[in-house]
Amino acid sequence: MRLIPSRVERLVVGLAVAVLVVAAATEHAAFADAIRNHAVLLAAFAVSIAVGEMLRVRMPSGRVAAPVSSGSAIGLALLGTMHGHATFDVPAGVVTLVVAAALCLGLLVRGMIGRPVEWTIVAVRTIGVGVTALLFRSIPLGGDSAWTWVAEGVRHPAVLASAMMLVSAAGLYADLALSGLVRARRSGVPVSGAIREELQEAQALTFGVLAAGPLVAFLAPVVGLLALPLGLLPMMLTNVAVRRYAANRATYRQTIATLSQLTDVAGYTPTGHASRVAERSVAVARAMGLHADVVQDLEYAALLHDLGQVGLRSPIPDGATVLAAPDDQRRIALEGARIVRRTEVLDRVADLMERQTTPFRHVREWGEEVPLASRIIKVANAFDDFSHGRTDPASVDAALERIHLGLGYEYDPEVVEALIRTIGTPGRG
Amino acid sequence: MSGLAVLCLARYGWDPDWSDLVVLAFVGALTWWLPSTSSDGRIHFTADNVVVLAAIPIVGPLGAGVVGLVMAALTRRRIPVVRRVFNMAMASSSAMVGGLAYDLVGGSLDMVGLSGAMPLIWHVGLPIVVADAANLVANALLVAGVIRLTVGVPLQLQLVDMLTSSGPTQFAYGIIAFLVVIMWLPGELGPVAILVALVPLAGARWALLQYGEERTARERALGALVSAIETRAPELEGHSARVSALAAVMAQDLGLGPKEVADVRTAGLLHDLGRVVVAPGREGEDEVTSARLRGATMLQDLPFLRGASSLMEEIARADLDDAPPSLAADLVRVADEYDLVRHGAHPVTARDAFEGLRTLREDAQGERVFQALSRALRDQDHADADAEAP
Repeated sequence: MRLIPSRVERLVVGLAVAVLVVAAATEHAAFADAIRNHAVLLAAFAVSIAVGEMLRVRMPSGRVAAPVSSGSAIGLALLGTMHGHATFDVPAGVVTLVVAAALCLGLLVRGMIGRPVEWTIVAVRTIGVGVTALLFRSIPLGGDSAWTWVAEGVRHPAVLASAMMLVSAAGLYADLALSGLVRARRSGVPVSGAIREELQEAQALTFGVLAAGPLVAFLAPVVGLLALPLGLLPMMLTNVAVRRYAANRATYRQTIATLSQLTDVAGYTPTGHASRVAERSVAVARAMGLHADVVQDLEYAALLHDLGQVGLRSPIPDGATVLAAPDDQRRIALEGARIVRRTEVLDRVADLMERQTTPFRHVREWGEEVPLASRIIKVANAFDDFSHGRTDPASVDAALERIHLGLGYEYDPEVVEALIRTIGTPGRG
Repeated sequence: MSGLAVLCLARYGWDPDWSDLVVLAFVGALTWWLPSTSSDGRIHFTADNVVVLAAIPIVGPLGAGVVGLVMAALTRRRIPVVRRVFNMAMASSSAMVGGLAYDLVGGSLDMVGLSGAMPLIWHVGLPIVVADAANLVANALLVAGVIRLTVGVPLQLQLVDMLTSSGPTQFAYGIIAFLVVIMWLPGELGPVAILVALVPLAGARWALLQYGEERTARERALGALVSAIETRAPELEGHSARVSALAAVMAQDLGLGPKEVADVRTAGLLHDLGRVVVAPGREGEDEVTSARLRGATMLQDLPFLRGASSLMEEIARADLDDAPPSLAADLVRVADEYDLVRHGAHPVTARDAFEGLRTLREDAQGERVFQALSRALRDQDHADADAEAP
């Protein structure tokens, strides 16, 4: 499905275009000079940035990063001198224009080989590099810009390195914050949560990218263009580690999902029930702005919420726990939690599973502490049981009607409200 | 170690820049301070070789030896003095071996007159790669030697394990030392160079440790499957774990590879999954074999269980047709049968269980499997007797 760009996306792309227009208007002469004087150097960085767009990494949260591309772009923004080349004395606007052109080139190639093309990513990254280049090359710090310190070697290396890291961080965090904003609007989750997720999950890669730019800039005066692959090497190694981590995270999730199929395969529950409840629970949790760690535990708990049924002597009709007697519901939940606790690594998940059947009135009237995640599973499970896993409007309406009958008594009204919001934006779980 | 030190002293003299030496030793010690091993001990990450390798051109091979010595001496881990001294000797010796290798292949120790990409690659980059390999092998040899002497693990086995598990990663990180040297000496950055180069590794370390944690968690999650089996069939309490352990010992005894042994272990653990994938009251409609097959199929999508699930499938099919199962599957099947007879509703002695089952098999593969079982049971007996001895 092709998404209609949200207002935030249009705003971000608009901002990037405005930056480029201003840069082109004010620096067109410098740009032409730069192309003439630094053709080889610029071509090398442009290729590195474009190739970097082919080597993207997808993190477990769905965030997309292109560390090689970002690292090369920041390296260009910080570059002072390069062995065997003229001093790279160009204004920030020229760097921004070159990076934007290289990103567009990368995107075109992506489009040609049939990979997804997102203009917002180009826009966000252009703005980020623009910030770094501007801070480094144009803003005077105690008389001169930080770039002058590099070119003339007048400051202590520690000061130079710190300045480089700081301006890289400023650009990179601008990039992360804007991507968080775009992602929040796209998937209908609260902005603060999405940005927090971006920042947290990105930290491993961020360290690598932050240092890659300065490394390239520091190596260039000694080894020339070789600085580009050499400076990016530590980050690429980090990248390998991060990829392995992401892949492993995926198999872990898959293991839990397999475990959740036990009740399906055995015929206790309708096919796909566990994964539907998990998907719905995650969507509701995101819509309510829950922390990424909590969402993860919630997803596992939702996948495994019916596991306790394997202990039943006779299956309950249609596997629909929502129709079972409260005592049976509780017993199934406790049995499932007991099984999961045996793993010793899923205790938090077991806690959530244990309380998934507690009616909301216990929270309201007796102040019983039931984690929000458990209340979400209760609502998502009821929704799937009542709608029999169907998504046609009649089934959805019927399910919501049944849930409304228990609103405030069985089900947490805030969770139900979030559920209704997710039904408006399905499929983004 | 002292021999190496004297050799280095005679060859290169001793006139280091003391401030550089202190910085390198301190950063090296820092890499040993940060926890670098995941809780299961299988994923190990350290950037110490970056520091040691960079030290070779910066403070000379003997200086690199001193850096190794200090870094191991200052480790925060509480270990007996003997081990600490061994670690110091080991880190220092492998650093000096790296230093000698660097020099032997023409590595430059003063950097005078070196500039531009090619001269630096020839006289610094490639020698560092060689030193990296030498350092790694020397280190692995020393550790494997000590483990051979103390625990008795064969040298070759330990060496191959060390060099193939964390070796390649460690080697790749070692190349970063080249960057450090270029920035430190010709780039005139000094000690700042090592900090800039090590920053990205903080992220790599984080990701690798997370990876180790999650891998453990993933395997633990399988425990929930066993737990589910035992919930359905309480009489099988402990059965899966026993079959898994016994079959794995037999597989090792017959010389199966590490991957196959692991598959046998997992298949032993999960071989009764078929019992859970059929709802109660429906057992009659659902033959044991088809339930077993569904149990095996369920696991097929998990990449790390592919081997184990195909063994389970083989076991399920072995009951259907007369085709003999592979050796690995046979091991699990025999271990299962043995345990059911030995610890079943009417427990019998190990000898009776063994003899009773053995008479049912006359083929050559059965002969091998039962010989392995007999040895495994004898070892078990010895272990039990040792445990009972005062």
